Amino acid sequence: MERKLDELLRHALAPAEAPAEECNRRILERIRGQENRHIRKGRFPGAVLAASLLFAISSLTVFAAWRYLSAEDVAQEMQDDRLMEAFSGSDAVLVNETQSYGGYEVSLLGLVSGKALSDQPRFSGKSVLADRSYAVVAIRNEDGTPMPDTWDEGYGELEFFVSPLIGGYNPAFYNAASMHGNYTEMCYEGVLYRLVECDNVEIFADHNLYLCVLEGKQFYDTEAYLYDENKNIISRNESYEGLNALFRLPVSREKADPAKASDYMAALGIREKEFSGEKRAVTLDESFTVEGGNEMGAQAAEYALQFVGNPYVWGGDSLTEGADCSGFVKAVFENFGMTLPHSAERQKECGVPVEGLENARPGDLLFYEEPSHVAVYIGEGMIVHADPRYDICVSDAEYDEIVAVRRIFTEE
Amino acid sequence: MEKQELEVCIETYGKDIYSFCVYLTRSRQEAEDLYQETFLKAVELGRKIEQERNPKSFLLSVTLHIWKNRKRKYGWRQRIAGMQSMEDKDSAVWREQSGQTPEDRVLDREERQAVREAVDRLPEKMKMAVLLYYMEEIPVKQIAALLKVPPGTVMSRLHHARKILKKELEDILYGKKTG
Repeated sequence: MERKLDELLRHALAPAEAPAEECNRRILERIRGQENRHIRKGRFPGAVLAASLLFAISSLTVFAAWRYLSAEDVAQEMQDDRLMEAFSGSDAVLVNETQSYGGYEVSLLGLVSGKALSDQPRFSGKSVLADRSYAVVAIRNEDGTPMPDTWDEGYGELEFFVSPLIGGYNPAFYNAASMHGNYTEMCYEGVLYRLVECDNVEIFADHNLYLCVLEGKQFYDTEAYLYDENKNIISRNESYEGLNALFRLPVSREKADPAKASDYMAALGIREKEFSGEKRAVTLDESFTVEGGNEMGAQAAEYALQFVGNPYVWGGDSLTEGADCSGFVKAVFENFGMTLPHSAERQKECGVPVEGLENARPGDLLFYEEPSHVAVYIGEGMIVHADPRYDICVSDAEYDEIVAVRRIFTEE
Repeated sequence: MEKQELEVCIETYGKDIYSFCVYLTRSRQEAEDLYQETFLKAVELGRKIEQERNPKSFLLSVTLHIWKNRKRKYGWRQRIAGMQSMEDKDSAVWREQSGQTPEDRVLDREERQAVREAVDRLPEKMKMAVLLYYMEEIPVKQIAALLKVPPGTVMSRLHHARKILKKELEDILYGKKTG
């Protein structure tokens, strides 16, 4: 009898009540709140964090979603009040889906689209890009080691490409990079949070909408995903080594606006053929030599050509480790004692203007727009430049409309 | 407690603490509040969890401490109001999540409900001892430390509680179904 009662009590009273995730999240939120009052910026000693997280992971299979900041929190941390409101509003799609590939665990936290949702408007030329989509993803190492924070040394070494994709539009051409994309990221408690924005994709909601997360690339990688042109389906390439997460964006089809979508695509004016690579990455004959022009200019062009094949890295200015277009130009001219700004727009103001490609000489800078881009002319209608898609390469100078030509070395 | 430890503690003991809070407060809303306060207080106390031989009983001691203070603060009125709602609303609080637990195989839903209600009717001090002993599986010695009473007192409370429960749960114990 006594034992039977004991058993009965143990069974009936066994802790069966699990707190709601929201409840746990609020504890962390409240602690964060207290902390902000006392400490300006919390930073965990890496080793301790790694150790305790490892301890935590061993008893867990999945990093519980409540341990992440919410999309709303991330917008707040990024000091974007309007976006924070947007993420807490009814139009926001909160996803909280997690995928693990290539040693990373990626969670899509939320998505919101609409007009004037952010305190930080983006521009294309002079016009404001008002109608935008915003998505927040959290990326962490599966083994629990913290992701490098923005002030850590390893930060620059990790690159992610996060972008919405639209079924029916080739992802190689239609992604955040071409759709006026932008991103902001931050690290919190060893988790990297990225807020990516681009032109509103919800107008395409009658197509399948996706969000891709790639590691090791600044741009879309055609190897990572399979694109079925006929079925308008994008899928993961299962044999891809590394991170190639792909989330379906659960946007209601009612949000589709086909008329607006087709106008948008027309305005975007992506000429797919010109992206095909044939014109963008040209292999030079071995006999090619830089000819004509002034001596310094020719030398600069010759010098620039040595670095063909080296990587494109956004924001970089190293000829060997990686450079973006203006960083590449800056580094080339630095070798000849010329200091240029690290911005294509501002380089456009350097040197003297040259009238058209027909008057260009090797070593001149050619400028393009949408996106803003700069390249070094090497003669014979060709350029060498840091191209996001093909790294440092030689291309046809007229792959896109040339908007300006500038000569840096003016003395004969 | 460091923040990382906190997360581990939430993972490991969240359910134990929360269940205890539900029984203590008899209201989901208050339970959530008490549960959150417990962890916040534990962090504030800043004690290293590994120095605690039993993190669960440390957390429970925090819960009890907060609960006692709160009861003192709100006094009787609050409690009587809470009691009235208990019959209809708060017993439903227990019911809603009972369903898929392994306990189902041993006890049916109504039986479990009857046991919980009988425990809830126990005098406060006995109820506390029963919950800590049967729900949280804390040894008598530690319960004594938690409640700041001698172990003998805990044992006697458990003994009396068992006597009452045995009578109340006669039907279930002797195989007769209730209601």
